[in-house]
Amino acid sequence: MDRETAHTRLREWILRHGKSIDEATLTDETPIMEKRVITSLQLMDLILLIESMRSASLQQEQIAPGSFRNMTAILDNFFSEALAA
Amino acid sequence: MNAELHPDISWGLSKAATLKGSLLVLQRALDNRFLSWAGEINAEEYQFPRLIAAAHLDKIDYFASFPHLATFAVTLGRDPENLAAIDTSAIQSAGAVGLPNLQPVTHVLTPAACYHVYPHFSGNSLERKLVVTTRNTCFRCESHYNPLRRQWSFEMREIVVLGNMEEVTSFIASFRTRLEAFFHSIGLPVGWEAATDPFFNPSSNPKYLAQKLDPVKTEMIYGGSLAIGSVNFHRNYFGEAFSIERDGEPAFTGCVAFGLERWLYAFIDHFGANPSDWPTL
Repeated sequence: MDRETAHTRLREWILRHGKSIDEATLTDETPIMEKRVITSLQLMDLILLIESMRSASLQQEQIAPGSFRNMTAILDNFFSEALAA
Repeated sequence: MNAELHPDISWGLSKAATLKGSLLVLQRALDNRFLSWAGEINAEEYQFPRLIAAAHLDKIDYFASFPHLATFAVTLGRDPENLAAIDTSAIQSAGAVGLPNLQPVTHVLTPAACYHVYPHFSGNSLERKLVVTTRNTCFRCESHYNPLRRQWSFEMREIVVLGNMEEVTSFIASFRTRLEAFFHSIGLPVGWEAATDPFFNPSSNPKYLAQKLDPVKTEMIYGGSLAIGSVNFHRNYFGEAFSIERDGEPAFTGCVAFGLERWLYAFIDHFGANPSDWPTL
């Protein structure tokens, strides 16, 4: 999945499931975990979403502190050109 | 066992050290240092009870996350026949009392000093940042115990902030800077390490994964492995659980926590047993 499509789907998912967030306030840099827009329980669903979008499981070494900090980090970590190549 | 560490420590059946003399003086001086830092940022001091309602801990999923650490306050059913059925036959041989029927268990011996703060401010809408300090005897059931380093009961001083995200993160950052300068000034080698809370069954707890991915706890590590304190960013977890608001949204909270007995251990281990070799606080 290309980065732009991933961005759209990710944004839709966060707006649908996130707390205290809306179209106007969600940016690519919004710290979704730090602000608990996404709770720890939803983090599992977010990982499943990313896996389904990539059609591949996330390996432990791909997950590190900061990997899910905001949409930019998620896209950089899991949907960058280098990864797709 | 006490002589190995310091002549002012004794270690009996209580799984926590008894202190006297120079170590009590040091403990008081350390706590006064922490209190003075709290005073500089206008913290109000509170003394909370030693017991905390299970209903409060339930609101933060404590019993799912840390059931193994909890020490419950149990009392016996009031029926005289039941009270008379207490079994003392194995106390001297095995140390264990046989208990008859219990009254409903409603309270836990405080596991962390700051847990009292959030229910205390439940339902409040904060007009400005709030800083609170409190010290409590805390109780955590562990698999093994060592004098000063790992005890069933221990003293914890905490400084807690409730506010918006920026107020809390800046509190944490400034405390970290202050502590780094303090460790440097007294010559105590302490490093900082991202940590997770000691969750029960961590691999199946999403909170553990969340803490790994977004570290919210940073420990002050003495000697490579002993956490003598920590700074913690709770995000708005407690604010949401206890309906505390700031700026019309669930308040963010954070705390800096000091384990007093572990500070004593670090001082004895690094500076030696003689109080005249200890740095002035």
